[in-house]
Amino acid sequence: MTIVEDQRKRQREFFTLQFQKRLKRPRGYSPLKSSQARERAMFRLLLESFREGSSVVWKSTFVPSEIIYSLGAIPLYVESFSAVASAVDICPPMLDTSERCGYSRDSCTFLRAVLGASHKDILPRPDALVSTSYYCDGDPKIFDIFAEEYKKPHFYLHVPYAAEAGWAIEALAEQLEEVTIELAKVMGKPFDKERLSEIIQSSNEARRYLLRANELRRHVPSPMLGCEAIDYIASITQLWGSPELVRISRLLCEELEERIEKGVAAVDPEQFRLLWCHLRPYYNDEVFNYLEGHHKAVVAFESVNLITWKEMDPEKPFRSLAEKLLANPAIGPYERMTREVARMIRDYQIDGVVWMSPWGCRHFNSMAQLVKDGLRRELDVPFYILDLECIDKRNYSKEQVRTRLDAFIEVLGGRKEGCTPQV
Amino acid sequence: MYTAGIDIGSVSTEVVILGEGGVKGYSVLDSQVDIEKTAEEALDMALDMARLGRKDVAYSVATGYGRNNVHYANKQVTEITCHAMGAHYLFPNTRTIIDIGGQDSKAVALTTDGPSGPRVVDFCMNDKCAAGTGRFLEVMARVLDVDIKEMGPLSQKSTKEINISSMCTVFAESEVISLIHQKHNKEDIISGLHTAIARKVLSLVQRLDIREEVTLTGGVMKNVGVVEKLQQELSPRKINLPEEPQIVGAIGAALLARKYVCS
Repeated sequence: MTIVEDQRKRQREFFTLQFQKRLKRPRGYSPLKSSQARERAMFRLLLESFREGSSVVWKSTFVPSEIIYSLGAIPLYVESFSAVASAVDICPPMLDTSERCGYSRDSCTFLRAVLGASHKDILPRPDALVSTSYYCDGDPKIFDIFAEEYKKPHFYLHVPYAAEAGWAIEALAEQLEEVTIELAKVMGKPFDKERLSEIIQSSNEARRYLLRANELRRHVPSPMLGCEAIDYIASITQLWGSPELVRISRLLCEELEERIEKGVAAVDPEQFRLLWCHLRPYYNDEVFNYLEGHHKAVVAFESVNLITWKEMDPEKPFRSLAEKLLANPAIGPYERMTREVARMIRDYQIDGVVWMSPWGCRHFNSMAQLVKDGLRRELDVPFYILDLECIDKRNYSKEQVRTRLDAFIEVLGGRKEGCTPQV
Repeated sequence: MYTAGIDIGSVSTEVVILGEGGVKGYSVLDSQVDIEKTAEEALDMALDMARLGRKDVAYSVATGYGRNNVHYANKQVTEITCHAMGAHYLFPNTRTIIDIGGQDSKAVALTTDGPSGPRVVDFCMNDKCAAGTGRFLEVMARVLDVDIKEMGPLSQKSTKEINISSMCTVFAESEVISLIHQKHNKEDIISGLHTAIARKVLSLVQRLDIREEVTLTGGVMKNVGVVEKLQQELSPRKINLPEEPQIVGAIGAALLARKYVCS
């Protein structure tokens, strides 16, 4: 066994061990089988990408996994690796490494963690890299660094800010096709349009199930904890196009239907229904446990689980994927996000919105007050912008966060009781 | 019937005893490492002032960052709600509250629409750093070698405007040291510090829908310099300054205690 093979083997073993520890983590609530299956699928994908001979394509958030699966390669959504690394508590040294290399602590912690990991060479090595310009401009810049480090080609999708303009779809579809063909050359395989059409059909099937799951989650009381649901990140998961996602989402629907039929409430008694915008802290579950366990305020829905794109046409895969990518409300003017947040508030009978504002996420943070003000003109629903870190636990202050959450719950309580808090 | 409000802050602890005619007694103590002991002492001092004993207190509410450590309190409520309730009690037309405490600053929006009295509708708090709070002023007073109580009157003698950063307490401290070395007057430096605090807090307040009247609360509002800067920036809005801004949170807590005991 070569040194490199030995290192890869040890990394696989490390992640397997951490994954087993994570599954054993008590939550005081029985997670759905579908959620466990999703976690296993994600870890399997990670372990698989460490395997010698696997073709791995690093992708940033909005790059559609479907094109990568169609080439028989594994999509490694690198920001999601940071989330896994944070959950298994190996992020601080990765972040330290990136800081030692001169990357500011004020920049995106997802990307800084990956930078640190790549400098330490603990990531599955890529055969190629694909990034998008939007909605995070930091991605392509950092992907250039990775491409230089691993001496692999970096392909780039320029996503128009004018996401709703007629020309945007064509412009992006052309790029998607070009990038897919170039990726195929790197993989040494011819591009197979039929295979991509099959993948698109699989993606459509999972979409139908996840849409149904989202519909089931409108039920009051909520059948599922937000703490569990948020990890599906249905809008951007790297599982899109995989057969696993079809199985997982079908099972999710079945389990939610069963819970609703049996009258199972995720939070009992359900006092408040919250909408959570952005991702979550991955280094611990304290914030969600505090809201859902202590305050009985269920996170009834999360913006990252929103499915906004229409069913894709397998005969027009690139055009469909372009439409899918551009349908994300985070791309383009803030009014798109405001509109979707208002819709989620109505659909899920939301009492209050928590807009998580992570350290270093300038793109999302720049929208926060605009969306809040936009909603204020339309709906009378409390909206709190919560400064909270996703990856770097060194930026987390438990008591500061708790005071803000307590106060927000008091605001919601005041509205329900018609007077001051019932805490 | 008497109720008690206990506000355990990072810098000071305040207790208010509320009776039918209003505030019967209050105390303000420096917060010690032993929070419970400080809360006990502050309660006894406030009760002495009111000429009451512990058995006379029907209900008590604790607030502030140490609210969960007061064993004798019947309930805990955040300082956001308590400052709002206290400000509304003192100035019933209050709709916006600006509180600058020991290690945080906050802006709170209040409404009286609805059948059951005032309630908080929105709030903002400082993030990431305690620059622009009471602790910030304490550090600067030490560097400038002046009594913190003198900072307000000294700043009123300022003749020159100086810009000072409010991003980070430590960076601002080094900036102040450098200004001292450049032979700038203490008065001008202090005035610059007050402007930095006012602007930082206003950036929070402006995120809310600022409605009149605006009431200023918290220990930092004892500093006439900070208050003047806030008044200038908020002009022409009607600004209220309580006689004792430091005890507004404890008043709010005692009011809530009364509400709970009556409900």
